[in-house]
Amino acid sequence: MSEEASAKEGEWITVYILYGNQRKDFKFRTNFNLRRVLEEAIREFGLPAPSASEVYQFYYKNALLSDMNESLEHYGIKESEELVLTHQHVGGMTTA
Amino acid sequence: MVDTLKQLREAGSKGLECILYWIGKLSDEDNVVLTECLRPLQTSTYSGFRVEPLTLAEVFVKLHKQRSLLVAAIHSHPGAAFHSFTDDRHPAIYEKGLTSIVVPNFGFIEEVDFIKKSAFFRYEEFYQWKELDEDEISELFKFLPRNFEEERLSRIGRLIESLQLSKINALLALKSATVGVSISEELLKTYRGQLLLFSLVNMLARYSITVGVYLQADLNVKPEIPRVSNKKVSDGLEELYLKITARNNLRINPKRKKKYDFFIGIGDVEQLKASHTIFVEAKGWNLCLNRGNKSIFSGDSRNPIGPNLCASFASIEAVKFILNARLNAHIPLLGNFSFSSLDYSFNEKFEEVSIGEWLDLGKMAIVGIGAVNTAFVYGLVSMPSIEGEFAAVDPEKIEIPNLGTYPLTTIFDLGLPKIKVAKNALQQKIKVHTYESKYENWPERTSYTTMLLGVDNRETRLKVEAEKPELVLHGGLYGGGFTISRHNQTSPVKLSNLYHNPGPNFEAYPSSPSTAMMCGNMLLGEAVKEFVPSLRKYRLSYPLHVTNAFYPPVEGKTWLIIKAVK
Repeated sequence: MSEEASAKEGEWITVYILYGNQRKDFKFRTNFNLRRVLEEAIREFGLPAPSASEVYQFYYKNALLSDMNESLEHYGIKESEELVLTHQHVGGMTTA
Repeated sequence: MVDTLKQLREAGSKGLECILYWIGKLSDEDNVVLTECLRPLQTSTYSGFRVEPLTLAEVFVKLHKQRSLLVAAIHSHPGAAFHSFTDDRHPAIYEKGLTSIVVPNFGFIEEVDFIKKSAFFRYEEFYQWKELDEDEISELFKFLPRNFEEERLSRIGRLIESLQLSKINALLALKSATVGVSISEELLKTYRGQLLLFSLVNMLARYSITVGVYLQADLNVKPEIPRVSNKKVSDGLEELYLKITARNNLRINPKRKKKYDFFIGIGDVEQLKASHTIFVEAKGWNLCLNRGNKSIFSGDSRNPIGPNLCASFASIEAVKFILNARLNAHIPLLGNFSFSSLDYSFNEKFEEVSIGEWLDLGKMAIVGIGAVNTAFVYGLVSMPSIEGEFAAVDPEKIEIPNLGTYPLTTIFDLGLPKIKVAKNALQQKIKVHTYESKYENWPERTSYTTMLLGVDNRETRLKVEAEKPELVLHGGLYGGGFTISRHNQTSPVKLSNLYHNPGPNFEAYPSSPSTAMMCGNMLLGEAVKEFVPSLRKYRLSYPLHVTNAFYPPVEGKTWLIIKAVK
């Protein structure tokens, strides 16, 4: 692989994703967008697929990563850093 | 549960639902101890609640930092308890095993009805929940009673009353006290150092004292350390403390700014800020206190008796100091102190006689699985290589007050037959037959040549004596003191006449975990001396009475009196 191609695809990095009681490590290229990261996380954690009523979010250093089309590199996520995967918790006799 | 209902009712009184998270710590491979009822930031109405993603993310981070687990989500409904469609579809986490509990009537139900009136669900996968029946709930959750801690400390409370101190104030003093413990890396690598550390934390936990432990390194737990399943020392210490107290009051390497009530240094460690400091060390049969922070002994030993006794002495010193400082109790503390459980001497000869690589204890019956014999078993399972065939005989089950004084027991033993607890501990090493009966109803009582007798009543001692067993090794606690004795068929001292001053409080229940640990481990020493030919010359000839500060001193003001009574 040429240097140019490698730079385009981004380096492989390890990213930890924290969800609930579990923290798992993943290998991603830095140019992967969050949508792709989410797909792998959902598969690994065994979560239901995203839908209109189930919206997943990533937080990085307490800040929401608001655009799922942006890459890890865009948000400055580096080797061995941690993302927190989350969603709403809603319940009750009907709903709040 | 009390806290849970209180918070649900608080919201309910405003006409709002409420969501709470039960957070716990994994105490071993199978069990979690609940340590916190967290009320996350939420928006709630009469008929629903919402926790925003950021709040949930903060909870996940907190769980990870504290090495805790989200065990259950509990929320209230204004009316009936059921899982709504929303409850099914939007849980706190999609994780197999998560429990969701719905409490009816905004939590305004009787505490005793919590299980019966609430609805419990377990998350399976992909929005599937299983509703649990009462049996499944009882299997999943063991609820400790509201007065658990008071009950657990009840034996210690009785002891404190015998010292004519205020029980309430003394127990409050112990519960609010902090003890710092530090161990050198060199000693943590040794079996004797690790066992001393774990036994010390075991004792301090039973008094409900908050503990800060400073580790210079986090090493693997040695496999013979009793009742610990975690692999690392830091996790193992947290596990042990939780399993004894159901509270999360042990910290590993907390900030050093804090001033402790009492500091215990094991080996060559830096002294921390504390109102009082002792340094302790043990090896083989020997132990010493207050000999400075330079190691006295070198090398390692697999004999658990010295370290276990040392942990007992050190914990008693901490308790005495706390009672003196907070209640003006004037209990003498030990100065420079050396002790050998080999010949019960107080000199600094520190004679080392090996217990050997492999110990065959023959056919032995453990009669009465109480404070003494659980301490005996605790010491026995700490031994590296033992074999034998044991019988465990006791009709009772583990109750909450036993946790205060039995060194082997944890909250997961509550309700189990005492013989089962002994068997669970011993069976990895030796064959154990169990008999859930009183001594006199045990059909094989005459077929065991050696008997470890640790009962709390004279009546059974008389019955044992009447059977004339070949050898009885006896341990008995009274108040804060204890007796150990050895009886064969020609022994001049009778079991029935052991206590030189029998009375209503003298021959009663065990009253401190430390004295139980001492008695059981000295008894273990006598058993070892019996079965290792080179040690037979050290066997007791006469009963040994040990009294200490937990009981008004028999002679003068000396704290520890060990006397052979002819």
